Amino acid sequence: MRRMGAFFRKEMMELLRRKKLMIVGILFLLFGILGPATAKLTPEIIKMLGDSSVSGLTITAEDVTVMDSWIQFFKNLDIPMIVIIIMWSSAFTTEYRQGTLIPLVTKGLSRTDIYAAKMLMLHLVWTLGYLMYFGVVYGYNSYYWGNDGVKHMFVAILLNWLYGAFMMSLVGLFSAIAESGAQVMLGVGAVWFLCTLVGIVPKLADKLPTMLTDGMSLMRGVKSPGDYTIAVVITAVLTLAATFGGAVLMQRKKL
Amino acid sequence: MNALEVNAVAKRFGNKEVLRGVSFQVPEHSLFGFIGQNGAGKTTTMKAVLGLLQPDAGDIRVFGEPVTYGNTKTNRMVGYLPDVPEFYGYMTTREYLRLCGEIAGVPGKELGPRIEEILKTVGLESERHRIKGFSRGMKQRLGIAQALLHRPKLLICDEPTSALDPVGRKEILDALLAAKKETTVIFSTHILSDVERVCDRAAMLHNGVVTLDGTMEELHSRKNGERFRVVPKNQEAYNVLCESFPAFETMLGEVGEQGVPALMIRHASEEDFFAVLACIAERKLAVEKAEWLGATLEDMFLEVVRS
Repeated sequence: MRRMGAFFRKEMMELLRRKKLMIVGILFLLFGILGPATAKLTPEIIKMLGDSSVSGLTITAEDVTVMDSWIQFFKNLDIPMIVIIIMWSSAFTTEYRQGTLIPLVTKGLSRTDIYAAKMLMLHLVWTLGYLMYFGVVYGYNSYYWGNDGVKHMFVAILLNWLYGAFMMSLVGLFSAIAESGAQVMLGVGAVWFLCTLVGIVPKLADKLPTMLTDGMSLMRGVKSPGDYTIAVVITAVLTLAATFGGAVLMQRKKL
Repeated sequence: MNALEVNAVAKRFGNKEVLRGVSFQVPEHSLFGFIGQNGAGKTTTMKAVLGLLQPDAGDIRVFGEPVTYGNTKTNRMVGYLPDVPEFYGYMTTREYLRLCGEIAGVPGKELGPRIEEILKTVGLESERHRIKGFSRGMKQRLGIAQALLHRPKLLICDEPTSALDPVGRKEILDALLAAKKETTVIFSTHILSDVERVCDRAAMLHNGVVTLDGTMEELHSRKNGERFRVVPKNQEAYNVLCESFPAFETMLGEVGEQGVPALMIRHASEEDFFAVLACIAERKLAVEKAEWLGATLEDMFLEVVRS
C-alpha cells in the first residue's frame, strides 16, 4: 500500500507539473459554460439574423427551455472526454518506451501497484472533471431557466458517468497491451465503433454502453430508469472485466 | 554463499538465439565484470536476472531465492542501474530518490539522511534543479544513487561506463569500488581496462554462452593465452624465423622500426621460447625485440571472439 501510495503521489506530481490537470480543468469549465451559453444565445443570434431583413425570410425561434441546455450538456461532453482519452493514452506507453518504470519495478513496485495507481488517477480525473462540468451547467441552468421540469436528472448524470468510466477502463485495458499511445487510442476507438455498429440493430441498441449517453430521454420522461437496467449491468460488467483484464495482462507486460 | 547463480539460461527472440545456456556464479562480496561485445546478450541476461524478461529455459537464483518473471521478490535485494537510465524529468533528484526510497521500503526516518548521504557519494548534493536538464553523466550518477539508495545486497549495473568520458568513467568505477564494501557488484561492459582495473572476478559472454569465467588471477594464469613475440630488424631475420618456426604468425599491424612486421606465437610454450632464442643466437639474427607476453583480458577476449 505504501508503494502504491508513493507511486500515486508521483502521478499527482505529474498531473500538476505537466499541466495535465490545468488542461482538463479548463476544458471542462469552458464546455460547461459553453452549453448554457449556446442555448441562451442561439435565439438572440437568430433574432439578429431575422432583424437584418436582408432576405425576405421570416425566422421564428421557439422558446428556449432548460432542455436545450441539457441537450448541449450531453453533446459537448464528447470533446473533453476524447481529450482525456488522448492525454492518457500515453500515460503507460511513454513509461514503457522511456524505461522509467524499470528502476521502480526493480525496487519492488508491483505491476498491480502501477496499474492501480494510474487507473485510480484516471478515474479521479474523469469523475472530478465531470462533476465540475455538471456543476457549472447545473448552476447556469438553475439561474436561467430552473431545473424543475427535468426528470430523473441525477440518474441521467450518473449513467453518463458510468459510460465515461467504461471508456477510461478501456484506456487501461489497451495500455496493458499496447506499445504506443496511438495503439491505445485505436483500441478504444475500435470498441466505440463496434458499439455504434451493433447499435444499428434496434433490438440491441438499448443493451449497449452507448445507450447510457442517452440522458435526454430520461430527462424528458420518454424513458424511465428501468429501461436502462440491462445497459447498466452490461456496462458495469464490461468495465470491471476491462479493469481486471488490464491488471492481469499488465503482469505479463514487457517493460 | 553465491549472490547470483545463473544456470543454463536460454532466450531467443524470433529466430535469433541470444542466450544459449548461459551459466555463471557470482560469490558474495565480489566485484564481477560481465564482459561481452555489443549485442552479446549482456543486457538480456541482466533483464532476466531482474525478472524483466522471461527466459525460455534455465533458472536464476539471487541469494538462493529463485527469480520469477513479473513481480519477482528477489528484486528487494537488488539495485539496478540500466544502461541508459531515464527518470521523471519533472522531479528533482531529492523528490525522485524519495519516491525510490518509499518504494524500496526504506523507513521514513532514515530516508532523508540517506538521500543526502547518497547524493554526496555521487556528487549531486548541490543539484536542486529538475532532472529534465541533466547531462548523461549526471543521469548516470543519479542512476547509481537510486540503485544504491536502499543498500541492496546485489548491485547490477548495465554498461555504467560505456557512454562516459575518462573522468566520468573513473568516478563511476570509484563509486563501484566503494559500493563493493557493502554489497556484491555485477557490471557489464565491453571496456576491458575497466574490468582489469576494479574487478576481482569476470565472465565473458560470447555467442550466447559464457566462454571464460573465474577470478582475475585464474584468468591471468591461463596458459593458453600466453604469447611470445619477436620484432625482426630486417627482412632476412623475418624470413629465417618464418621458415624455421611455422607457428609464427605475421602481425601486419605491428611494424618494427625498419618496416618489418612483428611475429607472434600464440599458445606459446617455454620450449618454443628457448628454441626461438637459440635460433636467433645461432644464426645471429638482427632482432629489435623478443618478448614473452602474459595473457591480458584483451587477448583472451580477441581470441574468444575470433575463434
